[in-house]
Amino acid sequence: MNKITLYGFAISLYTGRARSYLIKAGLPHSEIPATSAHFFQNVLPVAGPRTSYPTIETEEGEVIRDGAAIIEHYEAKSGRQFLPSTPKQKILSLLFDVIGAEGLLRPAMHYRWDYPEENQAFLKYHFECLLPADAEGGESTDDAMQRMRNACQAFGAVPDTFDVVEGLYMELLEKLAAHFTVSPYLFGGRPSIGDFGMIGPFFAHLGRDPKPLSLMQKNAYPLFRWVERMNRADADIGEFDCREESYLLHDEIPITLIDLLKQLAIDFIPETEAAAGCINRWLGQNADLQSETPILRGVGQCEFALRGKTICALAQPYRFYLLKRVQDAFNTLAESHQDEVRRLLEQCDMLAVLDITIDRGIVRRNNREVWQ
Amino acid sequence: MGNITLYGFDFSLYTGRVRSYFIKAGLSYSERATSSRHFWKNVLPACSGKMTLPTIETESGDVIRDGAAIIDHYEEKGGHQFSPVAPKQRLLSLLFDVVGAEGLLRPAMHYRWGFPEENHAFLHLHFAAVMPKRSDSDALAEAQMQKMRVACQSFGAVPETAHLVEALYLELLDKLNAHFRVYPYLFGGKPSIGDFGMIAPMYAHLGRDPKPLSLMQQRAPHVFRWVERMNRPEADAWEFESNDETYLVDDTIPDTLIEVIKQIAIDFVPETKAASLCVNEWLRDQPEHTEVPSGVGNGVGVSTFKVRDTTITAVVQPYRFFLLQRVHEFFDSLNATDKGEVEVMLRACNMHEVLNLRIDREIGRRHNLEVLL
Repeated sequence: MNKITLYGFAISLYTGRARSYLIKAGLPHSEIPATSAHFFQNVLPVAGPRTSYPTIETEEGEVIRDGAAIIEHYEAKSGRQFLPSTPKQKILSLLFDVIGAEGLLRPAMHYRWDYPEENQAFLKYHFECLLPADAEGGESTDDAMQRMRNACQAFGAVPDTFDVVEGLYMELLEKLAAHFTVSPYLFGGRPSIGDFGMIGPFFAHLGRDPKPLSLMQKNAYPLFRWVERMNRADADIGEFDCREESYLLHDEIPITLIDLLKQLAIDFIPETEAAAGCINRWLGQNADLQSETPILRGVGQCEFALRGKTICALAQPYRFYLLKRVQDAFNTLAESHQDEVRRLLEQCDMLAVLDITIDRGIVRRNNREVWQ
Repeated sequence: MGNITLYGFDFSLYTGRVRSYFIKAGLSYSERATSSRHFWKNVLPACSGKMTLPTIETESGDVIRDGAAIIDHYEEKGGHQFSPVAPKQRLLSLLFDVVGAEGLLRPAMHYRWGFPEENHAFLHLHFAAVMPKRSDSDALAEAQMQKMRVACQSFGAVPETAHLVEALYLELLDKLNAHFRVYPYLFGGKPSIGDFGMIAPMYAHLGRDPKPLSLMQQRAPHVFRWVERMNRPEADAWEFESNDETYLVDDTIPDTLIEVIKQIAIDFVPETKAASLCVNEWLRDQPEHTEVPSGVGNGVGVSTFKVRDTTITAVVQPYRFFLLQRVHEFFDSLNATDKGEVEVMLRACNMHEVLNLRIDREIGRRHNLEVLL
C-alpha cells in the first residue's frame, strides 16, 4: 500500500494537528513541502486550488486540503476511534478542537514573532528551507518573515496587549500543567479529537519555537510531556499509575478540565461573540454573495474588551465552521444529556458556545470551505 | 502478537537510542516505567537482577537488557536493515555507535547538571515522577539527583574542565550542523546504527534538557532537526531535495562527516587510549565470566589524559571496548583493499589509532549481562 503524502511544514501550526493524528492512528506517511512539480500539476488543481498546510494525498491518491477534513476522512473510515462516545466528553472534545484551531492564535503568534532574540535564527532557518535564497525576483527570507509578523498582528497581539496576552497564557500553562499531572490526555488515557485540535498551537509554535518551548519546559513540565506524547506512536504514559489506554469511565470530566475551560473562556467567549457580530454584519452587507463562494480567512476586525484592554482581532468565519460541529453534536443528544452538557458548560463559563451562530452556513465543496 | 514493552525513562540517555530504533523500524512498543510488580517479579530476574534502562520484553515475552543487545536482536530479525553494507560506511556506523554510547558523556552530563538555574526544576519533576508515590517523594528525588550529579562528575565534567567540555561541544555542534545541513542522516537518506548510537546523548540530555536544547535550537538548527527526525516514523527530510531513503552510493563519506569525526577524535582517542591501559590491567586477574561494571559512575578505575592542555580524569568503563570490539571485528573481516581504504579514511579523521586500541580479552554476553570471556 502506498503511504500517505502529507504536504506540511515543521513550523506550521495546522500541520502539527494532522501529523499528530497520523502518528497516533498508526498511518504511514511522508511529510514533504508543497514545492514539487507533482504538487503543482496534480495536487494543487484539486486542492481548492489553494496551497495551504496541511494537504494530503491519501493512499489511493485522493487529495484532501485542510486539517479538519483530513482528520474527518480517517475518522469516518475508522469508526471515529478518537471521538469519545459519551455526551460530555464528546461535546468538550469538539469544543477543544475549535479552541485549538482558532482560540489560541494570539499567544501562538506572540511567542513566535515578538521574541526575535530567541527565535529569529531558528525561524529564519525554516523559512530559508522553503524559500531558496537565490530565487530570482522572489521575496527575501527577511521580507517573507516580516510579512508574516505583520499579518500575525491581526490576531490581536500588539505591544499594547502583550501584558494581557502573556498574563492569560501563563495562567493557561498553569491550568494545563495541573490537568496533565493527573491525566495523560484531555479525557484520560487516550487522545481525542480535542487533543489533536489543541496540539496545533501547542506543537509548532508554543512547544517548539525556542522562547515558548523553554517557557513551557520551565513552567509547565506536564504539558511539555503531553506535547511530546502527542507525537509518539505509543501511549507514552509511563509516569502514570493508570495504564488504561481509554477515555475516563462514566463520562467523567475531571475538575482540572473544568478549570482549564474556564480559563480558556476568558477570551474565547467575548472573541467568539464579537466575531459573530462582525461576520453577521458583513454577511448583511454582502447578501448577494453567491452560493459556494469560498470563505475568506477574515472578513474584518472585531473588537472586544479583555481585562481593561481592547483587543482587535480578525473575525474568521472558519471558527464558526468548526463551532457548528459542536452545536450539531449537541442537537443530536437526548434531552437529558443536553441538560447535563448545558450544566457542565455553564460551570466552565462556556454555555454561550451553544448559541453563538452566524447567519449563513459554511460547507465544503471541492476542497474549499464555502458559503452555503 | 503483543507489543514490545520498553522499560525506559524519557530522560534516560540510552532509552533514547532504542526508542528511536523502534520508531524508525516501525515496531509497536509501549514505554513503561519500572515501578510495576510485574517488572520486579518477572523482568528483573531475567536480567540477573541488574536494573538498567532500557530493558525490554519482546512480543513473545523474552527479556533483553541493554540497548545494544536490543537493537542487535531486531537487526538480526530485520536483516540488518540499518547497517550500511559498504565497508567505510559500515565501519563508521559502528564507530559512531561507540561514540554515541560512550564518547559524549562529558557534554551530556555537563549540560544536564551544570546549569541548575535552567534545568533543575525540569529534572526534579522527571526524577519525582519515577519515585514511589509517597509523601517524601520530593526528598527522594532530590537525593537521587544529588547522587547522579556526583556520579556524573566521574566522567570528567567538573568545574576545572567545564571550559574545555563546552568548547569541544560547541565545535562539535557546528560540525554536526554543517553535516546535517546537507544530509538528513549520517550516511544520507536513511538512519544507521551510528545514528541510533548518536541520538542517545543528543536526545534526552543535549536535545531535551532545557539549557542544551535551547542552545541547540539557536546555534545548530540542523542538528535540532536531525534529533526531531530521529524520533519520527517517517524519513522527515522535507528540507532536502533528494527523497531517496537510502545510504549514499559508492560508499561515499562526505567531507562534512570527516570533519565531525575529526572533532570527536580530539578527546575520544586519548581517552580510549588511556582507558585501554586501565582495562587491560584490571582484566588480567579476573576469572572467566566476570561481569563488567557498567552504569553511571561504575568502572574499573580512572584514567587520566590531556586534551588541549587540560587534564581530564574519567572513570573507565570496559563497555566502551565491548562496542569497540565490533568495529575491530568488522575491520578484521575486510579484504586487504577495503582495509587499506578504511585505514586511509580513518587517518584523515585522526581516528586510525582506534583500530589498535584493543583490550586483551573479549567481552561477551551471558544471562543478559556483559561479561569477560
